[in-house]
Amino acid sequence: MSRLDPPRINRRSFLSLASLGSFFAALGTAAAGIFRLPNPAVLPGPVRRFKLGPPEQFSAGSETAFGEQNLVLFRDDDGFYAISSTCTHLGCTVARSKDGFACPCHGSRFDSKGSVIGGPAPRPLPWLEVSRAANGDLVVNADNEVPEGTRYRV
Amino acid sequence: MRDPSRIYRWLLLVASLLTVGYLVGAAVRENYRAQWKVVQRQYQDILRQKATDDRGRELLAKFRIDMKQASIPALGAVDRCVTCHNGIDDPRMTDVEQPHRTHPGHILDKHPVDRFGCTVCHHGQGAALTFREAKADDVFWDYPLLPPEMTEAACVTCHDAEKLPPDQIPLLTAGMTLYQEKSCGSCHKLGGRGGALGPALDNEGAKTKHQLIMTSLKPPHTTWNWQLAHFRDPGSVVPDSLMRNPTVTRRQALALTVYVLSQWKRDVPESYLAPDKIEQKYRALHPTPLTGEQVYQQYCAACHGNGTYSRWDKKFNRFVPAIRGVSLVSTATREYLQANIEQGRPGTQMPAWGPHAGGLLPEEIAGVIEYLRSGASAPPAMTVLTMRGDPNHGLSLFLRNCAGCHGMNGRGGLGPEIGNPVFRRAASDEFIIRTIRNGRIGSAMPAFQRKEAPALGDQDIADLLAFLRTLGEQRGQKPMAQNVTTSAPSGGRP
Repeated sequence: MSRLDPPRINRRSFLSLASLGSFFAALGTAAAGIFRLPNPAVLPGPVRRFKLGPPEQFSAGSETAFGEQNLVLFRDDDGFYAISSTCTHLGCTVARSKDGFACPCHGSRFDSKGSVIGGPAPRPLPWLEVSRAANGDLVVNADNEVPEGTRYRV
Repeated sequence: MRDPSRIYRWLLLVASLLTVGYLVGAAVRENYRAQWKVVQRQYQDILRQKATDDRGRELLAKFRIDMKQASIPALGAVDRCVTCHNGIDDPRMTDVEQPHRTHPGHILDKHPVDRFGCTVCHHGQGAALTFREAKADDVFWDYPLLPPEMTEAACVTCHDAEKLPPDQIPLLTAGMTLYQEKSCGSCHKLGGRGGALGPALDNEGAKTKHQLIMTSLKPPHTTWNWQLAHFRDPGSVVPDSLMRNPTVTRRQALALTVYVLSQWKRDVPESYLAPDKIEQKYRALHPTPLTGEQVYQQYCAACHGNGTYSRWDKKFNRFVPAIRGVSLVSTATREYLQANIEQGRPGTQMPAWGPHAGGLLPEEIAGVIEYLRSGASAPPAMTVLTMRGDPNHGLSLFLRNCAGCHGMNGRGGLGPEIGNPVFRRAASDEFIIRTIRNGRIGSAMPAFQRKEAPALGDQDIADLLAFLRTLGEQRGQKPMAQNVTTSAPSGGRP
């Protein structure tokens, strides 16, 4: 058999191709497994899904600050929404001011919807996802941001 | 001619196909057949069946098949139990099979999983993703999963057991009462109060399985099983235990087990403590004195029984005196009893009970002396005291009449060691004379001056007393090694 013969699949070259092909398939599968390793299934951070109690305890038009969870829960006629009270600048806890929120550390100011109206804060205060747990309690998931203006209707 | 590389191509093909097969199999096993994923798919089906209203549909829509965990840094817990126990806080899941079922009772209303996790109460390996690993009753995990009925032992971490409703913690309440009824404090210290024969139980619940000897324990080799077996028969797990069989029913053994498991000084952030727990800590620093009878019941009764009879103790290898017997309390002075209680009886199993030893308050010791003496009668007049004794004649009398039980030089044998320093200092002449004369009713000590047949005359007793007073001097000249008795108390457990 010379190199000038037209290429045809005979038994021997099929064997070569199959063995090389399966070798690279094995390599690829193993690599896929290896590259999954740096992504842990669960991060060991604390739980940031907060149960805030039954929705009936918040009246329409109310706002409730949860200091430990660093968020403020609002209820208006359209439903519930929660705004994080962690400043987007350096992570201080913002205080409620006349026209919205004010950060005591570097003077960032936000309006009542969380948008920046002054100071060094680079981003508006995030709105957090509100949902309900199986037992009916309101749940705020501080890991999930939602677009401004999103309301949760009970 | 055959191509020599052919065999290598076959080899590569077979090896690579095997590797691909293995890797694909592993990927399927890990990503699809994993126990928790199977469980979550089952739960998703249950959610689908129960999605009859808006909220049900919302919960179904939000349900994702992924690992769920409650991570509470303050308690050092990363609990993935909720990965399989998905319905734990869903009130609709009361009628489904485990592991999907709702947590029983209303405990989770006040102890949400997000804030408390699971292992703070149930123990076990929280990070595990299979039930076998979560149960962790092998040698690799210190605190294996508690059986459900024993979980109440953990309530005490944050609560004062006495302030919790007893119907919520039936075993713990029973165990607490039994601990006092069975007079466990006679030998074991708790909160600095109690005897010194057995180990202190203050942190017994914190013990890991590696601190207990499991060789003669039937599996499972867990601390709770060890405690349970130990309460049924201490000798079965600790061969040289001095502890008497507590004669308890199975349920009482369970209650005592829960009680000792609850003795765990866990470091929990203050924000987790119930207000009554803080009050309990304050109360422990400022204890209210018990009455004499309570003290006797909790700290004396295990060895002395009801105190009116003398008892031969096989494990102590000596008589335990009848300390409420009428012949003792009508002869012993208050000072004598007080010295014996506060300083103990060296050479015997009787420990010291003073504030710095057994932890009894001075008013409690006074109270228990009052209780012991409640059967005392007025002592008759004494004539011996005016006589002068001859210690040499006393020695021959002692060898003939006393040494058989009290040992040569009063070192003790069947009878108590009357040569010990506390006895010598505290026993008045009058007390010794009365005891020799009248004996000890309810014990092996006979009366040596009965009216019908006096064995010793008044002068003999005076001689004997003179000899007894020289005992300390003789002992003082001997090497200390002689003071060591063979039945020196060793800890209840190795």
